[in-house]
Amino acid sequence: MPNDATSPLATYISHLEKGELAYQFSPEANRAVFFPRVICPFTGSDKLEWRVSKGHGTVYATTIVHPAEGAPFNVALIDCDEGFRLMSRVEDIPANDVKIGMRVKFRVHSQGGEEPPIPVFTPEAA
Amino acid sequence: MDGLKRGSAAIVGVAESDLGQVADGMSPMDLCAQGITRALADCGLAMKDVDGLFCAMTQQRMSIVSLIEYLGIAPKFIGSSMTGGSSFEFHLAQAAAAIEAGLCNVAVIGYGSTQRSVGRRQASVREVNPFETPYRPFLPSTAYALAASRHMHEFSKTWAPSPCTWPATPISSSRCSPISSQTP
Repeated sequence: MPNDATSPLATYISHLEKGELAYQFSPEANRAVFFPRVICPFTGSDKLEWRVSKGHGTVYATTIVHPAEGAPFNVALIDCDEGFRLMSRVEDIPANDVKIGMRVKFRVHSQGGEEPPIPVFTPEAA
Repeated sequence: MDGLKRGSAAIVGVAESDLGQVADGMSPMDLCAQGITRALADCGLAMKDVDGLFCAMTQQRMSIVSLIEYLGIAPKFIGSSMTGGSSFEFHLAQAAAAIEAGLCNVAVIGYGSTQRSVGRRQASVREVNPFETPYRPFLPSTAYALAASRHMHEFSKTWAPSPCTWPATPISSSRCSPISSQTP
């Protein structure tokens, strides 16, 4: 059997490079799948479709990390409207102001250097 | 499928290694061997009686192989399942099963760590997860904090610091990054 030509991570990153938050959808389970992988965790099937999120979500859980050096920062779990959850952070507001239930909108954050872009979120305009 | 027979094995000896800031140069294996020696003394057994051995450590690849060499024994049955802090409960189940199956008679479950002395960064292998690492979660604390934030949100709990094993130090002087979970 020939090797897979691409990895789930590479496909995910290629979408981010186009400004898109991609996720997988399992037709057999009729559910969104995240993080990207080679088989569906609900059925074991390798039939997974790539879809692009509309980028709207809700804060599911939130915390503040106080590093030994540098300013405290937010780490959050975001539930996207398509039904998948990912770790991310909410930017543009103090870490302390990030609340569970807050509506947020996706944007791409460039890490710079060799690092791939990552999804972050900002508060949805009120 | 009858499961394990109740009472087919028993915990007979228990001990701790040196704790907290240990002597300079003390290795995780030194501490593990210390604990094992003390546990054997606790029940009046000797190292030569040990024919089952279990351990799991973050600072040593293939820790069970290193521990066998360190102790100078050749156990008939070994285990080294690594499931974090719950590893030793699994070792206990495996040891009980092995004893009941007649695969060994005296099983020792060991652990040693110098995380307190060498600092967190030196104590475990850096693991990169492309979907989480970029957000710099301070694991495992951040994972617990996220779960706690959700629990408080759903059940209207408030946050209170739990009693700490070690004296609290100010953030500025702390070697490890403390973490706080906000009250939603």
